[in-house]
Amino acid sequence: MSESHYIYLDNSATSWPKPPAVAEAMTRFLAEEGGSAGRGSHTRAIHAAESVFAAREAAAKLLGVRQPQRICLGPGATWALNQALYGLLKPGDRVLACVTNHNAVRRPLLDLARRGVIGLDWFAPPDHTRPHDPADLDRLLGDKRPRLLCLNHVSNVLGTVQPLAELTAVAHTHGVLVLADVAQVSGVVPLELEKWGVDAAAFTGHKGMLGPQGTGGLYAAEGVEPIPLLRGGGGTPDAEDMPEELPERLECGTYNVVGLVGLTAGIGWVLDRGVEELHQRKARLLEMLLDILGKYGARLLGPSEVENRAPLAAFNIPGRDANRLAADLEERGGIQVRSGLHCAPGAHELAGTLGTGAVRVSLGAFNTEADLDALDRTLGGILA
Amino acid sequence: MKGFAYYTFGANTRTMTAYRSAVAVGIEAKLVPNPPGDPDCSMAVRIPAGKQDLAEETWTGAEIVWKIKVVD
Repeated sequence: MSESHYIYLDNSATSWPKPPAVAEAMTRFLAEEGGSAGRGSHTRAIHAAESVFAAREAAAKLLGVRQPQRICLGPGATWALNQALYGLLKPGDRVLACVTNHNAVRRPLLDLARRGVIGLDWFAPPDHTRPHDPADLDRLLGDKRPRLLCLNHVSNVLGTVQPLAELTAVAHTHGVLVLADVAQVSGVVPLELEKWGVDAAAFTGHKGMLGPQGTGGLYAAEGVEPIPLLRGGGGTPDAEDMPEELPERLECGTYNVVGLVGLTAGIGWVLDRGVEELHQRKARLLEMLLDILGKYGARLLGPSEVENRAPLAAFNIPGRDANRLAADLEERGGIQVRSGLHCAPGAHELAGTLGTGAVRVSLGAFNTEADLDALDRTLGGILA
Repeated sequence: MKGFAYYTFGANTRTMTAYRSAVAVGIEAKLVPNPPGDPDCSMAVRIPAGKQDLAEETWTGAEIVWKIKVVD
């Protein structure tokens, strides 16, 4: 079966396909431009710098950030989360982190805690079907007194869209900084990070933003100035350290300009169609997906309703191994989904699936009802 | 005033921000290689010399500080 005949339902891992403009922009850059931003003063280098800035502007617009210079570009959300955590936390700090966080948050935090740099406490929503309760968080923040609150806007397993603005406001009443992982929501649901007061947020370019892998970044609000995780070329060459100001302070080495022109094209496609419009379209497909899963007696992880759920659904069919089921879906119907723990063991522990994992179906901008009809038929055949 | 004024800002993002804000207020700005005298490898913004007051006012409002200025 050629790749084009598969039905791709794993957009939470990475989105596919991309809008044609993404590959076109990247090919054009490689074939006709190819300069390195900030490395030389010739026209080709200046064009590359303009391309980097265009990506910064596009990402800022999508994230609801007015100043593009507060968007620090890097290889992805994992880099951004590590940069934020290692760059902001000081010895003696306490962190309150949601158990549903991805390993890109969990592992750096555990490392810092193991080495005695930080104190670490975990919190969870009331159960896997519900969002965080701001009143619970308020009590917990008063009790634990952390410097940083670390949470995702949407868990890549549960799909719950957390009330990020409300939770941030609660954190700020305690003087607590908020670091949000928005990898699963950027380009998927409308974001107003600056208006919501989020202090720092990590995004990736290759999911809902529809850009290529190897792109992403960190939004740092005014006054949030992390210490660089990496040091190298960039800024004023004769200075002994990275520049004082963002974004160059966190951006050393050669930019991934070819990736960034693809990211700009992907974000442009999303913005042209509207994040909310795309979300509504995916919500209609999600409703259909939840109906299909319900028909086969699936146990759903996360909220049972479409409202406040990102377009993903992790589930188990009682008596069926998740990995086997995912493999069968591809083998028998060409349907590509992801099974296992999805790099988020805490979310699975909350849902009671740490020992089994689950199958996750995640919808993208190009999925159709026909894709879900095929899922329905294939699941029916497997479970018959 | 004839000729051009060149401004550098010490970092590419700052330069791009200044360039965009100058264009936004109708100044015929251009991104060009750095003028002589600045050892940085970053680029410069060139504007018509007669538009210096307007440009500097725009940049001050946007909290953009130039590092060197050269007028041809």
